[in-house]
Amino acid sequence: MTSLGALALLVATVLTVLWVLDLVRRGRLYVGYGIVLLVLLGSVAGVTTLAPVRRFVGLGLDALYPAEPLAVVGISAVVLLLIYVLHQLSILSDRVARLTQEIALRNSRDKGPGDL
Amino acid sequence: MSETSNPSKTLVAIPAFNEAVTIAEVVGRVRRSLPDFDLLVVNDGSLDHTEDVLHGLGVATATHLCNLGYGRAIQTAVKYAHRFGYETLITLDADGQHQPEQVLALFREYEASHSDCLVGSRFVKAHDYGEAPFDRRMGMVLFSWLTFVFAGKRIYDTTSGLKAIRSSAFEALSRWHFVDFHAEALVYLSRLGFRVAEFPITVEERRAGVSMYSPLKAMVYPAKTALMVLLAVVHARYSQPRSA
Repeated sequence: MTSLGALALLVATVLTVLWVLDLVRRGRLYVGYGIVLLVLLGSVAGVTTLAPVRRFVGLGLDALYPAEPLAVVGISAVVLLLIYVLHQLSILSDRVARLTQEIALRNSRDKGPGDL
Repeated sequence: MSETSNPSKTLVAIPAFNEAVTIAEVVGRVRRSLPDFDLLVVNDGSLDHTEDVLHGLGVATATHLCNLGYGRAIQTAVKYAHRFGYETLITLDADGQHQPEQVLALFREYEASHSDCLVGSRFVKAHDYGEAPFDRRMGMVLFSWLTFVFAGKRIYDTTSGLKAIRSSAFEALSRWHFVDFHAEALVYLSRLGFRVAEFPITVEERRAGVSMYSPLKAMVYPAKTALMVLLAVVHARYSQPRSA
């Protein structure tokens, strides 16, 4: 990977990290998914920018060859799709939680508040 | 909004998940110790006989149809207090560790100090985590320092379930999402200008049931809470601060 390519990938990773953080902040992505994605993106940034890490990963995989452009595009698409799916799942989960809370509150109201 | 609270406008809320063994005793002790306060048990989708026990006790109950977790259970209590016009919400655990007899002392201090959120703290008196296991001690030190760095005030017991919360904070706590209403909630409230403080308490050993932190959850919890603490700082900038 060229220096320019590594830089571009790093910038894209940082932007994705910021996007993930914003989704978590707004409650649009469950914080647990956020942690997994941040670890994943941090790994990408580490492997992209740090030659020793790249060598270590390559040795670990026993397959030290440059990623082909299509593989980068494919992996990026998978990561973006993963974020999107988890985002939608988190929204659904949040709606279910709010609905469950509302049902609990309405049913409790029927009995009257604080009957100590 | 009045800064002092009427006991009859104070709600004691107990989140419960699979606490059939202890909940009756805890409810009984709360009723004896705090007869002037209203009581709500949030049954967080218990799979045991907690619901039946609560029905037999005739206590006001908000039942989640499925388990949403501790943070959501506390939020349901906050929403309940907000909706029914309570001035103060006091939360305590259903496992029998908190002594309801101490809640009155906490409530008096809450009134005197005009805190918006007063945390019953096991560690503020000694400023030390005593005999806690090493991993828990490290976690508590970490979150205590995070509150110091981001809230400007060190909170020694960020994981305490005993809290007194003023109605002015209900709206903020209903709006955002929290992991377990621990350090992230305290930092969020502090950054919005709410007064957060601690009051020394003692706790008893858990009598039955299991901790809500399984080994896996105990590993993930610090990462989730630390991230939410950082995001609480950012989110507070976009939120309505406490009105003077």
